[in-house]
Amino acid sequence: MLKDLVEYIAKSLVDDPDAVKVSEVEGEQTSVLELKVAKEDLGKVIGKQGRTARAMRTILGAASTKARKRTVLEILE
Amino acid sequence: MPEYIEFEGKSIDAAIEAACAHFDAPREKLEIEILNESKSGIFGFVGAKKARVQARLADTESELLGLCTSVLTRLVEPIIGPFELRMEVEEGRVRASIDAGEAAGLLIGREGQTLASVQYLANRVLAKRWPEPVRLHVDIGDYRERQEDTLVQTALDLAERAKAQGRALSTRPLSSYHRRLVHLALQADEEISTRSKGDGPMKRVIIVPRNGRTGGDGRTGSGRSGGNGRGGRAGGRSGGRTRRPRKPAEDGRES
Repeated sequence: MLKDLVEYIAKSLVDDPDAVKVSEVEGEQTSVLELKVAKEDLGKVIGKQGRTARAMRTILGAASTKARKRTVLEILE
Repeated sequence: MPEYIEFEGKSIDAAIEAACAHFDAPREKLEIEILNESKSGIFGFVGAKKARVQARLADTESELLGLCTSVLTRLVEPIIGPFELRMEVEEGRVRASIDAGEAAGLLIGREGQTLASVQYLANRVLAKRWPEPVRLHVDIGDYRERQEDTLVQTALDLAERAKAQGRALSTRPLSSYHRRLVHLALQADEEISTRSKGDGPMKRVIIVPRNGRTGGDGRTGSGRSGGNGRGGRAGGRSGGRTRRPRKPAEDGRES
């Protein structure tokens, strides 16, 4: 599941995996995954010039093709 | 996995030292289990027992491959479902090849973006989870090989055009790895030099003819008009000054 995918990636990158929370807000055609991490780890999931966040979104986009549902990732501050 | 061998010593440390000497390897490279600690016994000898450990060379290679497999599975399976994976290790570098079957296109993504993202994230995770620096290279079938061949060919074509037109030409925005390929491909050509230009993660490579002016208005001696098939639009005949706004040579997309 896509939520698990995001959770797995985030937990693997941060220093404080216990603080990682992903919640899914389902809409009709689009669902939104909201990712929350410890403040100190925000940079780790965003990456230099947003590279990590972009890579996560790209993978999520490809995976949601398979799941036949558009999914977007929001990183909450 | 290799078999354990037992070692003895006056203390645990001494036993481990014996193991290191036997395998000629530092302690971190060994998997060590303590069998029993030393006992000094009465008066230091009656009933004294030596420390015993068993040790074997840690099989870091298969451990590393196991980690790579699990990371890639977690990242790739949500995109294409179950897949086959082949891997090999060479000097701090793991090469993984994914057999994605018909889903290859989906996993590669537009201009290889999805594949690049998978590789990037897998490397980030590895950097966090593996104690030594290691680089994971992910390919799908021979996709990258073909892509790299095409890129080198494009670079050579651009170099020919740059020489013929006597002006600098640039590639499309490329990743650092791909820029390196272009630099290397053109290194041997003494008539041109290459440098990177741009900002951020995706820079371009500028290919500059050595004798030409880098700003390039095509009026150097050799650049006389459209003899080269490709650059036909260079407008060499029109007397020069009315050049239309120059397009970056290959394609104008911004990253």
